[in-house]
Amino acid sequence: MSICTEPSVKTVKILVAEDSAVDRLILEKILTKNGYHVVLAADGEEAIALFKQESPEMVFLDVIMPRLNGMEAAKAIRAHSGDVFTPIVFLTSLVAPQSLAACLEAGGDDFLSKPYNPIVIEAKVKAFYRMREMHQTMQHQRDQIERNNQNLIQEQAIAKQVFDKITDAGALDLPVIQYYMSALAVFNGDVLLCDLSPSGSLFMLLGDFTGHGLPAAIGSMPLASIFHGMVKKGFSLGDIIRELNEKLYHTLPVGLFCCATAVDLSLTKRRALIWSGGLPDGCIYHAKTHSSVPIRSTNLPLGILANREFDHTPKRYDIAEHDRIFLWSDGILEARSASGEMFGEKRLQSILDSGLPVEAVFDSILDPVKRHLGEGVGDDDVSMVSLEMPSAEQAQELLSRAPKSRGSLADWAMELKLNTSSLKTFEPLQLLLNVISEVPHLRQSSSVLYTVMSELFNNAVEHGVLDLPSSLKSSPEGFNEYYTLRKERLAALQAGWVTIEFEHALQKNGGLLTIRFRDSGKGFIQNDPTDQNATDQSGVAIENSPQESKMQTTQPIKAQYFGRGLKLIESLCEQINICAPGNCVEAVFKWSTED
Amino acid sequence: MMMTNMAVLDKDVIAGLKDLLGEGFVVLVDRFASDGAERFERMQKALAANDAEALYGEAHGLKGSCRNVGAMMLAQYCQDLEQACEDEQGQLPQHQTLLDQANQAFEQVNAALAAAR
Amino acid sequence: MSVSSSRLNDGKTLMIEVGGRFDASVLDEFRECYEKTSVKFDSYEVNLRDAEYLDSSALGMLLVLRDFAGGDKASILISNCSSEVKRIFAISSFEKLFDIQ
Repeated sequence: MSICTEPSVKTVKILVAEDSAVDRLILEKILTKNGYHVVLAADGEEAIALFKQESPEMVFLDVIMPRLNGMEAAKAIRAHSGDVFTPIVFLTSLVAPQSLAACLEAGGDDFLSKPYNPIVIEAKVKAFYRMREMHQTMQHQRDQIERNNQNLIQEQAIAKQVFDKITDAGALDLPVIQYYMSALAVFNGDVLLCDLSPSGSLFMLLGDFTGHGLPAAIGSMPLASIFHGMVKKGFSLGDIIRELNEKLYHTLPVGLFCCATAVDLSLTKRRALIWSGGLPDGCIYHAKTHSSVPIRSTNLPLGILANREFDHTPKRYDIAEHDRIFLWSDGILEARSASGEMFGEKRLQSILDSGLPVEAVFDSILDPVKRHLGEGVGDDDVSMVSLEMPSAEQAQELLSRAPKSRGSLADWAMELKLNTSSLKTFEPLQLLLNVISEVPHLRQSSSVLYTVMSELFNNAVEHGVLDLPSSLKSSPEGFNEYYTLRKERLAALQAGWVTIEFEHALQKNGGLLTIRFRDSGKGFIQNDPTDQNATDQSGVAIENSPQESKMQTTQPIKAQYFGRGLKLIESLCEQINICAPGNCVEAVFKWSTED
Repeated sequence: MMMTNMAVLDKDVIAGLKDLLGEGFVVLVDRFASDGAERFERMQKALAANDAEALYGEAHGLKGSCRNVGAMMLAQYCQDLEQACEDEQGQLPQHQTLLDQANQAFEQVNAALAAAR
Repeated sequence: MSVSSSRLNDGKTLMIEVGGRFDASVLDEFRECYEKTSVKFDSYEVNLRDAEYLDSSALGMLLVLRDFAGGDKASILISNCSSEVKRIFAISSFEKLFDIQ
């Protein structure tokens, strides 16, 4: 049977059931003359048997026939053809209106009176053929929609399985967390993530991707895997937000982004760091005063700005035992009643302002929202979460579950020695930066550390290995000459090396990174290590020192093109040590988790 | 009922059928004769047995064929028989005359058809 | 991504954009931007929107540009600095010599 294609009308097969041989013959001739294929039956039972056997596209049935009359045969044929529309036309010489009506009620689509008129018959056959085609196209489309829908449901089920696996890795079952997320919310791109950090914090993120359905839900996968991965390694909230933004900025198509609020709740320090971009205001509900402080979104959502323009700095909130942080997606404010009215900010605020005990707030919001939505509306798109600051004992219990800082670099040291050929061709700064970025908290300082390492490396190469005097750089021409000379000497270098050493150690609430550069040069401290002249000549002089900068107010500024390197390092680092004879300089960089 | 002013066969209908059937017109003539003869046999039995439903079915069937071949007078007799079945159930045998008249008309139609082939 | 230059709409300002690392490796490119032009510009803008890192050689290069542009009379805007870059300029008291934004 052909569907949707356009077969010639002439291939249509028509069953004619008629007990009068004469009428049968005439109708057969009329139809075959018009090119139809005709199957003949002489009574009702034969008609049914032939229908099953031949599957004709159309049926002509005499009303009064021996064995089984036309109306009974019509019922059987209808039952057998099921979904397929088979036009049934009754052949009759009845004239009474009630009799004709009875034919149609018995399942006929039309009737044909005797004597037969060939023009009328041809017109009717064509009309019914078009109707049947239309019906089939409709059914085909309906089936296609049904299949598409089935596929979609299947895909969603698979996506949800994957999604559940990722999110289940989290810590949403902790006793300090209470949350509600409807299934529809998950498919509309709401995502709730939670994990314990080795830094002793509980991290949580509530996100809401723009758009609906699968495309929106899919963005939550990279979000979840980055979140869990980085929290477990001990990265700071700012680092994580920055990374999430970067990832989403590069992967999401324009117009798709993620409104989110992320929380770092310190279990030891009674503070929360919160970054919020685009979600409706959440709040911190204070257990003692039964009052709330709003958490306002001050940033654009994740995935809109490039990291350069993006502010990932969280805000600090003080938080006492049993205070709760409440977050929700816009689904709660936009929850619509049967009459289309939104739940709205006012209702929410009045609940928050009603002086409820903190433990009653969650249900006091959720219950009215659900009531507002009413039963069976089916568009419950609500996500809401509360996070409680635990008591000291509870906090201890939670801390014991936190992962140890295993996944990241903690106490470590490394040494890299660049020999002559490497010095000529290899520029190690990016490599060094990559190593350092594996340490949580150092990643956010990579720009500063680049500057520090670049100074130390260039000092070692230029003044140590290549013995270039920076005094050359006292004129614009000299400045350029200096770098030309650098290229020449490096190309001509026979023997020389630079070693780079890192030592990293964790301290209470932070860590120390020692960066040490040694070079094969002869150093610059020959006699008296305090001799300013000696350092001046070597080019690593600390110019523009605080004492000197006072002079700048009285004298015109004589800007030197060199001599800023060590001062930069001094300002950016905790400490700088120059070891005699000056071919070894170390910088100590301190980082802290204190806010 | 007066049938005298009605032609045995409608000439236009016959011309149409000949045009439609061509060689097959001969078959039509034969079928009309044999199918009709069987129907009259069954009608006679039904009348004698006072079986209104059977008589009605046969008369109705023959009526349809008559209309298709343009035998309007015979069609009218058939319709009268149908009427008789509906009106006076239980006293069919009294319509023997009507059946005989119909049978006569049937023979006339057969003759006219045979002449037309 | 390194160094490129273009004349701003007023026709009197040369904008130099530096991307990626701003250090001695882009010295020649940076210098050519302002030296190899026949036009005399009244002012310069160094756009660091896409610069990720810089070191003290970049500071030297900026000072050489300042000298080229007239020293104390030079008008040089360093634009789109990230907070880290601003910090490095601040340490070197560059805000007294340049307009930093």
